[in-house]
Amino acid sequence: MSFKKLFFLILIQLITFPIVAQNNFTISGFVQDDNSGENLIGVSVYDKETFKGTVTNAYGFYSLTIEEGTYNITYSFIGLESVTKNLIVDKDLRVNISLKSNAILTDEVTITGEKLDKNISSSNMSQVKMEVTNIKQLPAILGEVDVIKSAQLLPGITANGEGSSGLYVRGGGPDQNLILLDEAVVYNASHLFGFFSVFNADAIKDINIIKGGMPAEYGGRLSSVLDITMKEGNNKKFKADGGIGLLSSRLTLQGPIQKNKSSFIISGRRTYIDVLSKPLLNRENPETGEKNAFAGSGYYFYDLTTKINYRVSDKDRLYLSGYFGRDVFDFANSDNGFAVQIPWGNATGSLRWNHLFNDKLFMNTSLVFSDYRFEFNIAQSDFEFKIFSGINDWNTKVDFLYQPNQRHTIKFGTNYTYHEFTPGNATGKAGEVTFAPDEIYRQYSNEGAIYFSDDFELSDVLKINAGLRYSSFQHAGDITFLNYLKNDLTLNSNNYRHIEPRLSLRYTLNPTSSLKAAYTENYQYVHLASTSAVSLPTDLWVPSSTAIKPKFAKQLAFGYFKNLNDNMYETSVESYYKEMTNLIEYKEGVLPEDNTNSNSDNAFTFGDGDSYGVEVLLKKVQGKTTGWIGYTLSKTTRYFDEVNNGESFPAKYDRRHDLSVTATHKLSKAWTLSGVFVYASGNSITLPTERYVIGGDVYTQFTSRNGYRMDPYHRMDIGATYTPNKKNKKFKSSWNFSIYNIYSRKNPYFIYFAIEGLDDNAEDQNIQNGNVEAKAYQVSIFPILPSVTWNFNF
Amino acid sequence: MKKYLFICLVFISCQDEIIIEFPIESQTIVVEGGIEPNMPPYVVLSKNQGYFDEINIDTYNDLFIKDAQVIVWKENEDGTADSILLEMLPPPFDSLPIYTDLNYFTALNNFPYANSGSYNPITLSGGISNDFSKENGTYNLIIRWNDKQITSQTTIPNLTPLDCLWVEKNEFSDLDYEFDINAIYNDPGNINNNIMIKYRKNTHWGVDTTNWTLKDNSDPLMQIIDAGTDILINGERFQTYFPQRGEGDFPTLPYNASRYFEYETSNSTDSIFVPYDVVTIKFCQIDEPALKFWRSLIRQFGSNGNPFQEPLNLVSNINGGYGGWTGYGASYYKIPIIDGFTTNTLLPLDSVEITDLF
Repeated sequence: MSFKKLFFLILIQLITFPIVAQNNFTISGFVQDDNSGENLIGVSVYDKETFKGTVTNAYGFYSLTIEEGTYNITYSFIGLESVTKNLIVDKDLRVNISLKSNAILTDEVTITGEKLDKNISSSNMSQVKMEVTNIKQLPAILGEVDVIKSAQLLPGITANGEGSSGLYVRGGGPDQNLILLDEAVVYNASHLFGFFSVFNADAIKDINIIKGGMPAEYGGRLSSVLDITMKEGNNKKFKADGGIGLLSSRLTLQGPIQKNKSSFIISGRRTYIDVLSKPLLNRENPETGEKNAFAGSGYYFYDLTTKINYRVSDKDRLYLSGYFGRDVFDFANSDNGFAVQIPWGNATGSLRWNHLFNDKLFMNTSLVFSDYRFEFNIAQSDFEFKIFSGINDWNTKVDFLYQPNQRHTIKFGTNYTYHEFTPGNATGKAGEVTFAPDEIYRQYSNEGAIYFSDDFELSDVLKINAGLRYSSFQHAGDITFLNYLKNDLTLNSNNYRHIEPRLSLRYTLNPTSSLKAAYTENYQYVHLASTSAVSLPTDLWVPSSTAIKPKFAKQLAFGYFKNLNDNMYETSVESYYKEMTNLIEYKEGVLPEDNTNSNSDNAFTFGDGDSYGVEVLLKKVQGKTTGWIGYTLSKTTRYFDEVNNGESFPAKYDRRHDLSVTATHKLSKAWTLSGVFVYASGNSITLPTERYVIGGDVYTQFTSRNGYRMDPYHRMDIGATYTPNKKNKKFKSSWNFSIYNIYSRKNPYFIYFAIEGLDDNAEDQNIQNGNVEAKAYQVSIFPILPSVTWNFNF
Repeated sequence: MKKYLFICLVFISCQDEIIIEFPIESQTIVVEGGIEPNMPPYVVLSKNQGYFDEINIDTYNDLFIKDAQVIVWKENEDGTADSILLEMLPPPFDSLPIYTDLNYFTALNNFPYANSGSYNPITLSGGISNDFSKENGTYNLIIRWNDKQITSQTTIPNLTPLDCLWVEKNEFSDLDYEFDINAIYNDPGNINNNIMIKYRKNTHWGVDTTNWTLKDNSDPLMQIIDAGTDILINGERFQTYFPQRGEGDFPTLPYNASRYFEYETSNSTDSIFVPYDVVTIKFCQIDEPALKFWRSLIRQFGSNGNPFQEPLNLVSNINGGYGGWTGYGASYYKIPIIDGFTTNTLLPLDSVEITDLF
């Protein structure tokens, strides 16, 4: 029997499994933070006697159906005081709970807000929830707290190099991650050419990372989900938080619009490299009085996050949230009138409506807009040239959560996205003459999905999460959406429809250990075309078409989970094998400008990839000292007929060894110390192996794709947070001190080559002038970097 | 390289030399060749090297292949074929070994013994008897060397001359002798053509500050300004300009008009008159495969060392080798850098200098 047949049989069993319990009643409601009034995600709600229960969803809602009786129902969220309610369950109950801060617990530093043994009891594997409060205590480059860099410390997730905020999950590329901010897709999650992520930690409430066993409600990407939920805003009192750092400053304001009913939050961040450097760049030469030729050059980024929510009734809530961020790079040279401006960034907007049909059925409906755009403007004298690209999505989705009884958690829903791609266009101007294509080249696509899943307790020891996702993608070509609607919607060669099975199993060995397995199939219909070794704003998003087939991946994972010392320590060993097909690369010899103002389908070549590895995680989640040790042993390979002469080659982000150690220690009420150590095998890069001469200039030939591995990467960071204990003061502040790369390891960032002449002029490559030699230089950035950030709130 | 270091290293950085060794995997022939209407085809052949192999004058000369058999042939409309066996220019013109049509060159006035072995300023006067290479002709190249045979094919597109060119003061320079070469180009709207522009400073004088005399800094060979398609400019008439290339940089620099170069002597100020530059502009139409070769060459030249750039090999239209074989629909202009100089006259082919051809 094939695996797929077996899977369908299991699914049918689940759907038709008789619900035999009688006199069942449902306890449901919302759980919120008493201090801020915000809904809490992942609160454990369980019967204290049997430990059976559920957790709150992304909107703080829970539903627990149990037999008639009297129960002590406990609501538990680490960092907040647990509440136990004695409930006589002889009818359906609506119980909304507020959890207060726990003075004792908050003195400890906790790694997670999950139920302590959730890693054992949950059917999910390869999923991690990260707490922003914990992330904020880890040392950070230049004091910039970065959720993605913190995620890179988890096993199975790698960075692309020093300071990179890219995510590479279990051998997947940077475009294979579904990055969601309040359900809106973020297409480029980095600022400053990849050094910092676009997410302002002050505005983030919850981070959920899924690197395998992807549930059916998620789709459209092969490798991972980074699901980020923004804070809702304090609906009880006005509050301000801010910070002043070396690179940027930030400010967050939040408060009630109508107390206990609606609230807002607005959070902004901006760098000031450009402001600080402006006086230097604008300074005149004291001797000649000449203006600096580079006056007007600079770089900055900013982002603005905002959200409002409104509780229409006990059953209806509305959320409106948005993100707007831009990077702007300016370069000006008045010596030759040369000016470049490169702005790029994301904008997202989400309007969501939560509705409770009854105690067992919860619905969320979302309208989401997402936009990413990039521009490159160059001007000199009367000449102007502009390249621009982008993607924007209009997305609507409806998700249902149905919890008929204690054993089933059923999710189903639909998702539709209208994509508009602007893959690569150029316009220009010379004097009065404007150059522009007859029309801007755009591509349009429709992506849809329906899904169903059931997280089902088959017996006391066996739990299954089975789901199906049916996805479709129609590439509408170079026509407008209205034209598309008028056209025939029947299946054609540009229409892809696929079923994606998702299955996770948990088998409990004993109360402190379990075995898990997961099998998933995923299709991805949009692709990132990149000629760069890192994620750059110039990368293009392109849709699947007749020529570009959807990417496909299947992943199989097994895991053993064991908690020790009364759940103080969590350990896990996971192994995975992932196969990917229809991966996309530019053909050798294709130049990015070949796509300009035209269809890029013929610019690509397609191949396969695989990745396998073992991930070991040891976490300490309670006590004054918390942290984790994560180690990954893995191998990631690519197979392309038209790349590397058809021979297999390691992926750019292939890492044989990847070790992360993090620790946070609560020294006193005022001081918290933290440290991070990372070790990773070096990046695989392509180096020149041959050279030749044309017209007196030397040109290089690269023959072995990713055939050279740079030296291993390792560094240690330390940090300390000092929070003065000012009693009864409304204004509170703290100091965060970080030292990045404390032993100043010269980690390889890139290697470059210079043909150097006898006159030591590194730029002079003309070998007719005499003896020259090729030299290789390894460049390291970020030596020891101390930083300090002052944070405040009132 | 420095600009990339600047971009990524707003932060403190450091660099260390490292030793990497790659043995060369196989010997590959590198071709740099061209053909244009009424001109003899030419080819320069060399070999690849290991990236870290030493280069000095001797090893540089050893790079060039001087014993290959080079044939250019075309198919006629009647099904017959014409071919030319290219041979190397004789001494003293063999310092850069160029395979070409010797019959053409031996017919040149004053060839080969004018000017003591320097190519300059021998013009193509007297050699214009070539009816082998024509517009719209397709030309095949065969090279045999050491049991290797490589081939290529190129087409010479129709010429599309510039409307006019003129010399104008560079608006950004404070130096009163720095000028730009501007031009008006009227792109034919009915065809998709590919444009390539080269230049050479036939005359360019500098000052030897050791003895305050003029020194010849003219360019030995043509240099590329740019190449690209007309996808954005198709059917447009517009103004453009042709700057020269800086050392290891994109072409953005102006040219020099005549000026007095002032210098301090022991007891007074003296000056030396420096004549204006004379620049040849070669404005060409090329076919698609050749454009890809030249675009990739420009791209690698401009991005050499860019750490963010995926390594990009030169695109070649040579089967089995590296390099390019280009058919040029070439228009030549000679521009003296004199304020207000304007021309719309093509340089007669018999006034084109030999080195403007290569």
